[in-house]
This record gives sequence, structure tokens and C-alpha cells, in this order.
Amino acid sequence: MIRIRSPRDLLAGVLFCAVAAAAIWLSHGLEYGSARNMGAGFFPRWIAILLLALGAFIAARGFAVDGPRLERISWPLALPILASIVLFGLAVTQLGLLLTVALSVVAAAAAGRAYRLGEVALLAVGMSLFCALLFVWGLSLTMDLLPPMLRI
Amino acid sequence: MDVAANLFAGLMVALQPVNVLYCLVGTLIGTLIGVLPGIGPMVTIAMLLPITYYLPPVAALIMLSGIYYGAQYGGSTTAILVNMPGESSSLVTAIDGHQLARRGRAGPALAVAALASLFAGIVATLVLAFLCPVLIELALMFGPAEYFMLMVLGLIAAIVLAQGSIPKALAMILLGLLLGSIGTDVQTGDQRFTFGVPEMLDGVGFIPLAMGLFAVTEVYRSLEQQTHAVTVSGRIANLWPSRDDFARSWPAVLRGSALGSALGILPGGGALLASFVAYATEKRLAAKPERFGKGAMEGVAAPESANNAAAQTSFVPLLTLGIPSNPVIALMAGAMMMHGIQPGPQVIESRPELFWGLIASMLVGNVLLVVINLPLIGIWVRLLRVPYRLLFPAILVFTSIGVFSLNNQPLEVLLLAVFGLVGIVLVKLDCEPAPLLLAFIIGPLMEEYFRRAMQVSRGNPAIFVERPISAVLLTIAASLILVVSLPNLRRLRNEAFRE
Repeated sequence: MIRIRSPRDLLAGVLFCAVAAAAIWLSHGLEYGSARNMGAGFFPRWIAILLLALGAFIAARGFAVDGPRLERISWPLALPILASIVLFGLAVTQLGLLLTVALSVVAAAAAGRAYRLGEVALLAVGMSLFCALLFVWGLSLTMDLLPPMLRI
Repeated sequence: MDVAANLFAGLMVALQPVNVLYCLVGTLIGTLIGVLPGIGPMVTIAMLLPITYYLPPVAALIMLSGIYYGAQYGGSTTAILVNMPGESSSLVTAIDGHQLARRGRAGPALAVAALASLFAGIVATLVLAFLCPVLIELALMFGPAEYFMLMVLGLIAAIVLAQGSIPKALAMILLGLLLGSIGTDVQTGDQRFTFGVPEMLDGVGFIPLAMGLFAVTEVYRSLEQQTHAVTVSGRIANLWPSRDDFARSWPAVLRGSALGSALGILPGGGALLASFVAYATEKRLAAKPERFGKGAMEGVAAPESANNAAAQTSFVPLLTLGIPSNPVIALMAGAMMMHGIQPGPQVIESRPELFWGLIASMLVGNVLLVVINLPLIGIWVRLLRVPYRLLFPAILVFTSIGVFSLNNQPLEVLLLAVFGLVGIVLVKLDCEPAPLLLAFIIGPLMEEYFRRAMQVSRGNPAIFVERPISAVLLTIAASLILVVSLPNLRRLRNEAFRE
């Protein structure tokens, strides 16, 4: 039986192949042209073909060479980090900068080792004031500080 | 003569109050993040990039480059006092620097690190000033085929000299090239891989990509590694090095500066590689190599001069050929493009004030670093006690604001989260994101040169081997790949990085 010896290589190779295959398939909708007069699809198609070959090679190596175990993504760390960013993107045009920054800090802090409520609250308030001062007042970026719907 | 006059003119630009101010801001921020473990120049420059959009281009570049070499400087403080590299490039400084600190000689070690950096900074600035014009002359003779091959070589060299698996790094380059081709094709005006989404017409945003892959991923990595509590050892009683320290250090500084300047220019080179090689060289040349690891002053002087010199000379490929040699420089290239300046040999002609001002600002910055920072060491040490759990939410918020402020486009912030997740997955699979970013930056230019070369040759790919310069570049690139694939040399390369 064939044994997976380097799961990281295998998975990486398969992912590269998947991206390459998608790109090759999508590039069929593009003008290929000729080597002398290339269309929009020429360069991406060839890059994708190379990537497909290389991905297959890397995946095959997963059966040939020993490598480290696959490590899980630590979701208790990754989720708060990503949530903080997504929250910012969703909220910033709706709630204004002050509230958004505070929310974002509270979400991110959940990835920290010790979640101390008082400390996080202080950090959230401090960061929103600091960001308002630095970006809106100091660098005069055009952002709403308060929820736009409160404006009459 | 010419160079001296130009450098003087550059100095006039660098000494304008606005530029001195931003140089100071850059070097101070650089030192700060250099001191703090877990935040590197990569993350900081990525965070500040959008803000620099609102500055004049000269000031923006002066500030960003100040962050890079300032970080090399700050990294040594943490290395010596805490035995933890504030920056990866001061990893080797910690070996002997911390031993010195434990023997109560932290002050002189810090001073030697500072003075070594200053000297190396001046040497590297002169190297930049004299070498760039020569290389630019050369680059202007290049046709599209030569240029294309040069970029291929640059990308290959960058992965050979960096850590990690070669096939995966090659795949990351191809992935970067593919990502770079998304958007409107400049030559035909066709839309590529946009799925008809209007926001995709301009392609994938450089800022969300760079910040997602580096800033967000770095935060995750740091949290996962759970940095332990910081204990500062050694009181700083006296800063001034002894006569013996000077005698030991100056040859090491000379060699370190030379090595650093040379290694910084290489694609893929930079501060990290330079500091390792400089330390190893000193150890090999020393009369009593056993002194190393037990508090040899040379062990501080050599890597600190080398990493500072290399940080500065890694600007050479960008300023002369338009090819970024490492991810930090790729961000600089991004900053230039944001201001509508295409990095490359034409910059010296079209924007001489920018070119020479940037180079001369490094002189100003290095002097500022020594003059301002030595008295501030106490403050930097206190900053080390700020726990990471308070820092990382701030980093994430700044990153989000930075991405949003660029176009006031919430979609780009969501894209940041997507690339952050991609970055985390890639790291778990041992795929370093740096080659992807390099390829993404120069991809569109590479494609254009490829197309032009093939037009010239009427579709015959032999042009890349028939042109002598192009053939030489191709041979070098191919032999680099071959050399690192050989088992013996691969082992050597792995050992070099472990040491």
C-alpha cells in the first residue's frame, strides 16, 4: 500500500494543482493569440500549466520523502483574528470609526491568553480615541466617527 | 565627482525640514518595532503603507526605508538585553551580546552595536551612491529579452538564498504570477479572471494581499508561539566601550560592513543572511574561536554592522533594475507604484530628487539613530514590558484601518481577512509567502517584457538563448536551481541556516 509520508507536501501539491486547474479552465474564455502576438490568455495559461506540473511533482513527493506531520490551524487563535477584521469591514461604514475600532479590539483580544474584561475594555476605549485622533484629526482621512445614521 | 555632487544635492533634499522629520519618525518607529519582538519591519511597513499615500513620495520613501534600517538597529537592543532577537536579523547578536550583558557589560555592547551600525550605514550609503549609477548604465542597454531573464534570475535567486523547500517556493512564485495577472490586461484591454466583478478590474489589491499574507499571518504565528515573559538582564551603568573593545571591534566592523554591503545587493539577500555570514566569518577568522558564545565583542560588532549595511544595499536592485530582492523591498516597490513611480533605471533620470534624496537620507537617518537612540535606551527597555496581548489587537485594528483608508472600500477589508486565512494555511503547509509577493509585484512587468521579446523574435522562444546577456542570465538561474537540488549542497544550505 502507498503510504503518505509527507502530508504537508501532498496537501500543498494538491492545492497548487487545484488552483492551476481552475486557472487553466477559466483561461479558455480568454483570447489565446499566438506566440508572436499574444492574447490575454497566453501568459496566465502557461503559468498555470507550469503550476499544475509543479503541484503534481510536490504532491508526488508527499509519497516519496518523509516530512513533518500536518499541523492543525488553531481556531481559538485564528477565529478572533479573522473575526476582528471581518467585523471591521462590515461595521466601518455603518457604525463609524469609534464603535468599529472598539468592537474590533474586543473581538481580537479573545485570541489572547488571558481575557481580562477590564483590561480589554480599557484597550478598546483607548484605541478608538487614539485612532480617531491619529487618523481623522491628525491625518485627516475621510471617515465617519459616529454612526452615519445618527447624522441628520 | 559626479556622484559627490549628486549625493550633495540629495543631502540638500534629505535635510529639508519635512524630510528630516519623516526620517526621524521612520527611524524611531523602526527602532521601536525592532526592539519589540513579534513586530517586524515587514508588518510595520505594510501597516503604514496606506498612510504614506498622503505624504509626498520622497518623504514617504525616506520614512519607510528608515523603518527598515532602524529596525536592524533596534533589534540589537533586545538581543543584548533580553537574549531574544527583536528582529530575526539580530538572532546571532544575542549569542555574544547577551553574555556581555550578563557580565555587566551591556552598555559597551549596546554602544558597539550602535557605532558598528553607524559605520556600516555610511559605508552602505556610499556603496549605493557609487554602484547604482553604474548598474543603471548597464540596465539601460538591456532589451526586453534580457530584462525578462533578469527578472527570472532575480526570482530564482531570491528563493535559493532564502529558507525552505525549493519546489514549494517555485510554486509560490507561479501562484504570485497568476494572482498578478488578475484584472484588466494592459495590452489587449481584456478582463482576466474578474468574474465580471467591477472591483476586480484593477486586479487584486497589493495592500490587502501583502497585509493579509504578512501582518495578519504574523500575528497568528506570534500568538501560536506564545512568547514568554521578558526578563531584562544587566543594568546599563556605563555606555563607553573600552580601548580593548575598540581594538577588537574595528576589524570586525570593517569586514561586517563589506560582507553586509555585498550580500545585501544579491536578490534574496538582506539583513538576515548578512548577519549570519558575518558572525560565522568572524568566528572562523578569530585567533581564539572559543571566545565566541562567551561574550566576544566581535560577535556583536560584525553581525550588527552587516545587517545594517545589507538592509540599505538591498535597495540597489530596486533602484537600478526595478526588481525587489526581498519582501520588505517589495513593499517599497509597492509604495513607489502607489505614487505613480515605476521603479527601475529611469527613476534616476525622471526623479533625481527622489533617488538621491532617498540615498542621502540614509546618512541622515543613521546619524539620527545613534544620536537619539543611545540616550533613549532606557525607554526602549521599558517598552519591552508591554505584553503582546495588548499589542496584537492594536496591530489588527491599524491593519484594517490602513486597508480601508486606501479607497474607503469595505470589500478590501474583507479581502484582507481572506488573504490572512490563506497566509495561515500556507504557513501550515511550509509555504513561505515571500516569493508569492515578489512575483505578484513584478509579474505584470515580466509578462510585458515576455510579450515584447516574443514580438521582436516573431514568436521564436530561441531569443532568450541567442541573446548573449540573456543566455548568461538563464545559465546562472538554471545552475542555481541545479546546485541547490544536489543533495550535498542542500545539506550545506540547511546547515548554514541552522547555525
